[in-house]
Amino acid sequence: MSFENLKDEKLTRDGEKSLAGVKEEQELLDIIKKAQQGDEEAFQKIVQKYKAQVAGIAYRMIGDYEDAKDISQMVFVKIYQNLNRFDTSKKLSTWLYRITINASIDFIRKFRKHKFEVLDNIIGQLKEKKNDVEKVYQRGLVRLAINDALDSLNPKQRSVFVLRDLEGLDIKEVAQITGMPQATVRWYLHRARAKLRDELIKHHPNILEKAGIKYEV
Amino acid sequence: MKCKKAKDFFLDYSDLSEVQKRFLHEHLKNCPECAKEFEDYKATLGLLQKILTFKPPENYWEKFRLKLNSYPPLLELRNYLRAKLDFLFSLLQTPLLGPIPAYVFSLLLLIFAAFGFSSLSKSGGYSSRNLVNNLIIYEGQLLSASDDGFLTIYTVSQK
Repeated sequence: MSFENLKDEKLTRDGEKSLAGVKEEQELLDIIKKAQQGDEEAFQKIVQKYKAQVAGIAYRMIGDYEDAKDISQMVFVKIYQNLNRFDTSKKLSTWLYRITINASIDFIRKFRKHKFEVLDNIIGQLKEKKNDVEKVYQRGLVRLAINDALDSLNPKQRSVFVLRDLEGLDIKEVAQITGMPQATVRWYLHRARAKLRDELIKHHPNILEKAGIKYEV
Repeated sequence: MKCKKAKDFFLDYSDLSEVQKRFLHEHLKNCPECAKEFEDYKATLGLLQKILTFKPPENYWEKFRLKLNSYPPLLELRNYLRAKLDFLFSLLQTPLLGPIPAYVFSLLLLIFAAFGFSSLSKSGGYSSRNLVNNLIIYEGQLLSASDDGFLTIYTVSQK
């Protein structure tokens, strides 16, 4: 199921490039050039366009919405300070993603391992009283298991997994963002997936049932 | 294809070539164990993608403030210094002034050499004061100087 999604996304991205993408790229380039000349309004446009993507990557790296917001604020300030050095012949998103990934890795190393707001989530959902206790509890357990599994990845494995399997970027882009050769990216990806599989399927054999996922072989 | 290879393959399913995918599916048809594991893995990845979807709570962006204006003078100074530095480096890269580091290096080498020679000439060599009340053998001759300023030269013959 997930693989097909990835493929579709890739197709539409390529399709866009040939049609409306060219015009959009030109517009973005104009905005970047204006921002480089000190136009703050133009910079705010860049922020509006990319803030959800940046915060999304940070969230998937860290697992906390508030920390993800702090990181994206840091990322955009950094972008603002260094915008003059940005080479307009390259893709802005690659640069943005690289800074986001590095900031997230720094954050993990400095402050703590990642955490998910498991308890907050459970309490919040119970307060809504829409869900029955058992279901919410099971969901919390699933979340904890995923939490542990993601914790077992080192920062490099985690960043390639987030970029490739969760964000759906292709290997080439991941290699550009992380600054690693493509073969290395493939190797880290393979290790990350194997680790996640071992952690989730072997240590929590019932996780799919708990999460309510049913499928037929 | 063996099961171990198949398990390696389905981890990287989204990055496999068409031929590799065909090989994998051939194996999965004949190996229910691997097929089950493949489905498990796909479902687990789907679960991860679902749970890690970025769905920020309401009002999430309200407190999203960028403090861009807090230090523009510093920023300007930094950009100014950077521009100057970039200019200096660009000078180094022009063909005319290209080997500036080489010039500087050889100049430094010359200065050091000059210092070295001058200090050598100070420590070595003889001054007239050294000669007083001393006997010095110089090129086969015996030199002797006395306080009153006379210098006597004795020639030592082979006999």
